[in-house]
Amino acid sequence: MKLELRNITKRFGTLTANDNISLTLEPGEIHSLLGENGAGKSTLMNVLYGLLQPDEGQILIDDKPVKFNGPGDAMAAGIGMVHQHFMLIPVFTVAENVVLGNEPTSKLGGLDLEKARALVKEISDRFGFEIDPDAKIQDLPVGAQQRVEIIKSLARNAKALVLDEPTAVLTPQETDELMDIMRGLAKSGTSIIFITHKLREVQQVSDRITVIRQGKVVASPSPKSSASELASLMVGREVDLNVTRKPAKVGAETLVIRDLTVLDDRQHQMVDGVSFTVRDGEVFAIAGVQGNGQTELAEAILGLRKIHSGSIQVAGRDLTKSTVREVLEAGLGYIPEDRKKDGLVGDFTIAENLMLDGSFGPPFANGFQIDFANRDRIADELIAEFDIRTPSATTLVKQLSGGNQQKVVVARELGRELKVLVASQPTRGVDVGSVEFIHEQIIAARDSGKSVIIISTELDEVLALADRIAVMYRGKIVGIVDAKTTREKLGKMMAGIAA
Amino acid sequence: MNNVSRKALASVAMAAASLLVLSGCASPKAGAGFIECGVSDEGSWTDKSFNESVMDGLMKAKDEFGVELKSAESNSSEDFAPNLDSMVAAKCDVIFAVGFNLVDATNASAEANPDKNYVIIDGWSNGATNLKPVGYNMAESSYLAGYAAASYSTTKVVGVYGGLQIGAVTAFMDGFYYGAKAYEAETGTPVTVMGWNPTTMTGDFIGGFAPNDPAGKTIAAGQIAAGADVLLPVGGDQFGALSEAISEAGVDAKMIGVDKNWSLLDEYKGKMLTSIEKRMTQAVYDIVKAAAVDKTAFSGEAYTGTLENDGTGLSETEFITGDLKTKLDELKAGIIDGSIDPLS
Amino acid sequence: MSAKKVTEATAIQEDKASQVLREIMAGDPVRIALSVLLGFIIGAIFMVVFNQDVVSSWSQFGSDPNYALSTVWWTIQDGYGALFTGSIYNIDSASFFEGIRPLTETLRFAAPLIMAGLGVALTFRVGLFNIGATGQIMMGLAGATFVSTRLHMPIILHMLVAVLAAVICAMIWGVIVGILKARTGAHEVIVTIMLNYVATSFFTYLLREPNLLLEANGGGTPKSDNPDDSAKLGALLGPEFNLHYGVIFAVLAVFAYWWLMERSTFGFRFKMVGHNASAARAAGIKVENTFIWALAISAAFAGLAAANQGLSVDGGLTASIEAGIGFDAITVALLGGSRAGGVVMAGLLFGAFKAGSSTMQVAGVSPEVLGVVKALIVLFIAAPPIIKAFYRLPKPSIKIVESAQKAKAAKVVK
Ligand SMILES: Nc1ncnc2c1ncn2[C@@H]1O[C@H](COP(=O)(O)OP(=O)(O)OP(=O)(O)O)[C@@H](O)[C@H]1O
Ligand SMILES: [Mg+2]
Repeated sequence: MKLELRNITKRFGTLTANDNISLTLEPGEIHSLLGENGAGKSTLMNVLYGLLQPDEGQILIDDKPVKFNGPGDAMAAGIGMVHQHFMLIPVFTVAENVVLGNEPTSKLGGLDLEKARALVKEISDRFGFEIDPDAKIQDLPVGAQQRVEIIKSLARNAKALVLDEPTAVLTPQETDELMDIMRGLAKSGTSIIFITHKLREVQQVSDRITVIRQGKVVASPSPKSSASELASLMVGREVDLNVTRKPAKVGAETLVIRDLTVLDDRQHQMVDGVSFTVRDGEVFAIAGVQGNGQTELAEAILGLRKIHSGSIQVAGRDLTKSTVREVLEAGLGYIPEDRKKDGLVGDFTIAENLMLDGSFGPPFANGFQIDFANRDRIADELIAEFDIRTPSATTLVKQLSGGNQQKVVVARELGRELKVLVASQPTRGVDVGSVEFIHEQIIAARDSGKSVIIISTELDEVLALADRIAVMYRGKIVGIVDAKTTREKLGKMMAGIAA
Repeated sequence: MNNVSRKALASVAMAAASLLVLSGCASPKAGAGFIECGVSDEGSWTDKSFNESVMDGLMKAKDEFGVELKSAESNSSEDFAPNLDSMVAAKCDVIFAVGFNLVDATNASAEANPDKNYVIIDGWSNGATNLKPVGYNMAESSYLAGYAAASYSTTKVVGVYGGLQIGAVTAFMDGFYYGAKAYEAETGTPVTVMGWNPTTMTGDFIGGFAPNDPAGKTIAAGQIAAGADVLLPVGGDQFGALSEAISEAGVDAKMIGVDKNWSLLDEYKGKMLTSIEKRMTQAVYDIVKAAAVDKTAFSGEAYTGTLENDGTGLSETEFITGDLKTKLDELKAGIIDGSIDPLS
Repeated sequence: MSAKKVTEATAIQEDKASQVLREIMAGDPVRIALSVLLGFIIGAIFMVVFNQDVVSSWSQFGSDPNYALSTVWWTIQDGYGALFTGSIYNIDSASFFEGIRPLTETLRFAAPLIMAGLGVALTFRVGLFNIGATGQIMMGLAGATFVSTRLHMPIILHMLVAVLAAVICAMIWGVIVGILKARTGAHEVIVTIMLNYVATSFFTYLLREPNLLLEANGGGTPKSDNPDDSAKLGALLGPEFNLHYGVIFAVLAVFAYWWLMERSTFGFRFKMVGHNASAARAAGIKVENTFIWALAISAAFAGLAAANQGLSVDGGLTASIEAGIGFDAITVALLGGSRAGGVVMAGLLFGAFKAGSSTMQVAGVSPEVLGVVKALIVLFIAAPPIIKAFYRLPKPSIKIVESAQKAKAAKVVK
């Protein structure tokens, strides 16, 4: 199937998210879409999938114009889409999820699960997915859930697949597996549109690359282009992919954690006797594969999660039993790993989100009343300073592109007086230009004498920022090493092999 | 009859009447040009109780005399005054207010509009001469019911219970008690009346008038377990709950209806020994007739429904026959001529 | 399934519920206006279809189509004309002063609906399905009635104390819901339904007990004495009008609500919890305490509605003086998008329905028609998000995704 988007224009009010974009997708090719946050990639894909109606332009399949009034039409035409947030029912099995909405029926009209199972097995075997049709979704890791989404599309005979930032939630291993699967699919004739902010992935799998900037197609570079070439095409200027930084000037031990043990909601011990200290003026990175206790550790530091045993001190003050508000007021800044859930209120404006944790006193509150003048002034300053791409401070955060949403969180946390910054996955879903920017901000915070903890599953990020690196595995710190440690060594530590 | 068709009927008749007036194509009936109005107690005109009985009287008068009918339902006590106001504005000749809940609002409205005529059913006047209270001497008919119950009962245990311990309810219970005891005195067979003792003023009460209150069912079940095979619930529509209690106990007990003839309803055929009727329909009809047809001057004089004027009485059923019927007629005559006091 | 899992599942379920609530709240004014219009149109159809006059005229449609059509038209005009006459302006009256009486009646009926509606609206914006206004009003009535019939004080002071008593009693009832929700995780829908029953029975009980609230010289039915004149909400426009000072309280309540929700930091936190409780938690807000506060303040508004009802009666009150306000308040809040201005508009509309109901009935329209119109309006506004929620496949939140991962990691640990 040959797919063509011709002269697509999509406007949101005064903003033109897609401006006369044309794109073709040949059978069996992997076509990567590159672009800054807010460039209009997701918007274009939503148009293709029938979720949005274009203001101008056409979609053509095998040179015949088609019109999609909804995802149902797009699916029927052979287009599948895997959203960043999966549309799976956690308590159902893989087979049940795959056939949901399209159930094969037995002669008596009942659900024919046997057929469903066979279908999953057949697709899974053909592409090497290694998925058990009877596993419950809730028991599967993220990468496997994503494969179920892909199987779902393939089961509906998708000839073209849209993957919008599929790797943002994957571990490096899972990412590699996904790349293999994509190649396999392409070989069998399925074409793929692939969106990612990670240039290395683009270089690995693309047959063709289209770069979008501010809603327009600006370039179609060769897949052999270097990372810095791609980056500068996206952003429209040179991007320095390596953060330059002065050696750390460390001061007092501001954050002291002793023998910390934390349980998760199911009473499993997720953080197990962890001790470390972070000094003023240094970046302390916690590396590790997702799910080894980093989330709980961060939540415990913020006071969101009860501490089972051990202690946390900030600047000599014991915060072990403190509430979140006390911790925040003691000078802790927090960038949560899931911005949608813990960091932002989508239905609030940018200005409101920038005062989310500041409603208890000045500068945002004046007694019991919000100080609107201050709020709006600070919002405008932070929008300018952190380069948040938005029509105005009164835009709802949910209307921002993912990367700009992240910048709102970063701006809020770095925009106030801090002693300690805890940042979980601070650049998840953020474009290369913004990654550079956020990294610079974090280094600036370090250089102004703050203690910074970075929790990241990406070694690139860890190596770019850290002065010291702790690796967590199964709730314990395997070792604390300096920033010059090799990737291989860190990789081994992440697999639990002590330094 | 279901709600909708009942409503629809009301509007047919209403529309038809106004059409007649407008077109003038039919010969005017005796009451043409007279406007009778009704304001309901909380609840609809089809509540199978007070409201419906009054509405039936109004409809009957309308059909027979060609008077115009305007009516408004009250959903809560908040609606009483505005509804009465609307009737004043609608230039009604006589306004019927149903139930003692409206006593205050109706008295107030009557005092504020001395040129309008009001009737309060089951209530009283605070002195306004343009307000006619309609009341009932229910002890009289209840006495007959008590006698009938005792006579019909095979266990010679009969039960009674009330909604709340208030005069309007205990009047039934007093009459019922003494009627049953009259049977005992006459035949020498001991009769037990459960649920009410007029001397100590103690008895069984549901605690409200919510239809088919489960509390009522519990009381009934207790009385049935103690042998009662004729039961009288004085608290509006408790008969669904009571029939359940009876069928769950698996006994052949009979019920006695209140306010209207319940044996006319299909679901209670054969289950009602009789009903103690409060014949509001008749009273309403009579009052409209006097004002609209006979053109007698309206007065604030109270109307009291008694056995004598047929404002109250027992319904005829397949169980009230032969000797019992003769005996009841005798007792009725005795009460009317004063030789029998239903409260002793 | 472990207990923990169950609570997690209900948490997700609740997410869903408050998501629906948010979507209903976010209904845009155009859609709401259209819903109201559509409600009236279908109401008109009901009026026509159940009018035998029309039905019989249509049976002669062949011979006299004009007549058939005109009866339809006249039925609708008479019905809604009566609504107008009963709720806005009476053209037949002698003077303008007399003519606007219906409008003052609309205001009088709207005042308690607005006050209680604001209360419900507040909890909606905190993401709570609070349907407890009925119970809170009942408790408020108990407080107001006790002060107004059993205590004796100078004029004005007596009224203010009675209003305060209503507010405090209602608040106690609201706080109970909040505490149960915050401490035990009980769902507020169930708790408020149960407490509505408890409060109604409790108030009726008080009204039945001679040494509590039962009237001194009555027939024994559960009914209170007439409130002392010193405690009553006085007439606002003189004795010819029923309008009383309750409407002033309503105006003050609207401003208080607006300030609270749009200007104050409390409102900011309330809305934050309503939109995204977990982000609120990470921003240092004690979500559970916020629930308690929201329910308390919400109940205070319901208490004002109770005071309005209890202190404006002539000749004693029964439990029915609640007049379905607690229930209508839910609709008013939904219809008004839980915003101060919207609640005022919705309250006025429903107040007009109450005021115009008797004139409509006198005009021969059955009172059920207005009920149908009301129900349809709510249906049109609330149904699309609910239907969507039913048909939309549940999106597993990141939380599930991660807990699955954690479960996997934990399995490895063990
Ligand atoms: N529903 C909407 N209403 C208004 N504006 C919107 C809406 N959806 C997207 N936008 C705007 O359109 C622009 C393009 O957004 P889009 O989500 O397509 O960006 P993107 O290229 O996918 O970015 P990212 O890499 O951050 O995901 C952004 O400026 C965004 O704020
Ligand atoms: Mg996107």
